[in-house]
Amino acid sequence: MKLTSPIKISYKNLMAAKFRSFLTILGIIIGIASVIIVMAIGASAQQLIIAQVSGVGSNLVGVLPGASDEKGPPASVLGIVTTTLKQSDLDAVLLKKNVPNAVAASGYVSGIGTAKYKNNSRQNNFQGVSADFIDVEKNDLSSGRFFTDEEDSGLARVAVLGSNTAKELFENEDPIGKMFSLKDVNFTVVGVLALKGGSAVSNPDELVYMPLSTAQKILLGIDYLNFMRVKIDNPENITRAVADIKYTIRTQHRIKNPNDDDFSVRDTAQALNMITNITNVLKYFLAGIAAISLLVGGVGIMNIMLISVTQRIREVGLRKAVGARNRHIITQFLIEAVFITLVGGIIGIIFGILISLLAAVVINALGYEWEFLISFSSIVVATMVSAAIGLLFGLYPARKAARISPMEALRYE
Amino acid sequence: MKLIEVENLVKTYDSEGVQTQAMRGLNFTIEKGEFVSIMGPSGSGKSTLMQILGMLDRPTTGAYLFEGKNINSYSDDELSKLRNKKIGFVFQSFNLLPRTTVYENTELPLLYDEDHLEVHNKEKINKALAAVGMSHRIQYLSNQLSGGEKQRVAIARALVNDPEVIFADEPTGNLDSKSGLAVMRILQKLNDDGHTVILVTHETYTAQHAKRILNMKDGQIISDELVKNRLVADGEGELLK
Repeated sequence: MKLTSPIKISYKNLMAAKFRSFLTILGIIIGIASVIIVMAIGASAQQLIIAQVSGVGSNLVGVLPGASDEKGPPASVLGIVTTTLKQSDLDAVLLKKNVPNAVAASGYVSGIGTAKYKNNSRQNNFQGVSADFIDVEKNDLSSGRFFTDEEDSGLARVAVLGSNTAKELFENEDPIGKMFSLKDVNFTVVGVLALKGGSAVSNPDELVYMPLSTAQKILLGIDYLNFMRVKIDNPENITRAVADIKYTIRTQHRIKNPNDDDFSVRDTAQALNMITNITNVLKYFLAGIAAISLLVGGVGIMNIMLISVTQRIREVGLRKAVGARNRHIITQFLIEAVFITLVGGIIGIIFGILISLLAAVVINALGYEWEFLISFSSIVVATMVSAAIGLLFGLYPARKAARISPMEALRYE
Repeated sequence: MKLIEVENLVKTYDSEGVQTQAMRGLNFTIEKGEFVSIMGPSGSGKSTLMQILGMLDRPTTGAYLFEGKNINSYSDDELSKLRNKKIGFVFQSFNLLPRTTVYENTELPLLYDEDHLEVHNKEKINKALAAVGMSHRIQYLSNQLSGGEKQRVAIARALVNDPEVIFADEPTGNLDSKSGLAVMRILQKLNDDGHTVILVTHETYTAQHAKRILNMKDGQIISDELVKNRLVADGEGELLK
């Protein structure tokens, strides 16, 4: 039997009942489109998160207080305050003889307080950082300067403002050289950072930065670091630098057995790995949910094929009378089912791509670096899945059609 | 040469526990090249007989030999093949595929003839359509045709694979007398050309176009005789009722 004939026949049958065919195909269109959309948006979201994390710098190594196993989060992330990381550790890491690949390092402490200037006041997060901060992070100053090591060790009451904080506190005034208060302590603004863009975790545009020692001793009354970041000269040297940093801090803390570490060292590659794993799970989980609608679409196909078999019972009888065998009839109805689902699948893919593109345009207009990502494999998989659904849900009606006795079929009114 | 031999043929239908005997032991033979009418009132079993002779169904007991071989020795697929190559059907209700051209309807049996796919198909189809005078409607859709034209296409479809025997089940039943006459003329012409034709009808007038009449009643043959004053459908309307 020629293959073109059943395709032509199913096309004719589809066109004969356009609205019913449309409703049937709609189930498949929605299913395939939602899988494509979920996969595309998932991939783009993943890309966005990874870009933000790697934007911090791929040659950064973080040191956090408290032990942790390799895969789990460090204790400090869970809100447990650990006080084992000190300024002396930071100084040791910066010594060339300890970690030769470290080019800069900053300690971090953070807190929140009310910032006031004239009549303006706002609840503001602040960070105490080392003078090296501007080297460690990829931040630029839009005006003024960053504070110096001397200002740090001298507990100078100077501050560098995130761009949004500067705008809201000082409105149209130039903040450089002006004095504002934070937690009732007066600070002089020496610089303003350039707009960096939102990171979900902490937005540098909303912060007030001040010398580490000033924050520790005057505002917070602590002598430990929340964490520190070390900039390594070259991403290739990270593994060695991580080992050096661990050794240095162990020596500082007089730890002999690595299992007794009271700190953890993380590099961005590790963090990226973790984030990729988490977002992958989310992406496939959502695609799985979307795939359920495909199953519903498949049941719709089965239903319509069963109706089609009943409506065309005389046709089946005639075909058998002129010599069609059971497998000819099965093939014909299967091809019809696959034809319907493939048409639905292709329309679904087109809709899915268009909607993902639209989403990308809208999200980009909202100011995110959102890449439009459609993987070729998701299109191939969607096409194959829709064909497979046609086969799966077309099989029962096709077998039912083939089992019709030609005699009874020709008698059927 | 014997084409069809039937010995003590019985068909019993079992519907929800109620048994109906549609054929109660039939015996007859049909030679190659005959034109036989199977006649009888509705419920006489003539349609059941045609379905069994046409290999659309199997007898309950008894033997049906086609070209000397018992059809019970064939599998369903082999019967499909026999129907495809040796038998042509013409039905009362035409049974053309809707929204399909005259050409494609005629082609249908060839699509299932796996031994001769694509061989001289076009020639065969044109020849069959010429034989029923439908060459001028070749690209028409089946639903654009009149009843008489539909039945002529159905005959072309029955003819296209050059079968041994053509079964016509009340072929004039849905037609006006003029179209019916045209159909009978074609069947007689086919018989003249050597085809065996078996016609099932309840009308004496139509039956008398055949050469022999098997009369059935209550599942049995009550008479089997040659037609004395055979009607010939040749002129234009002279034999109209």
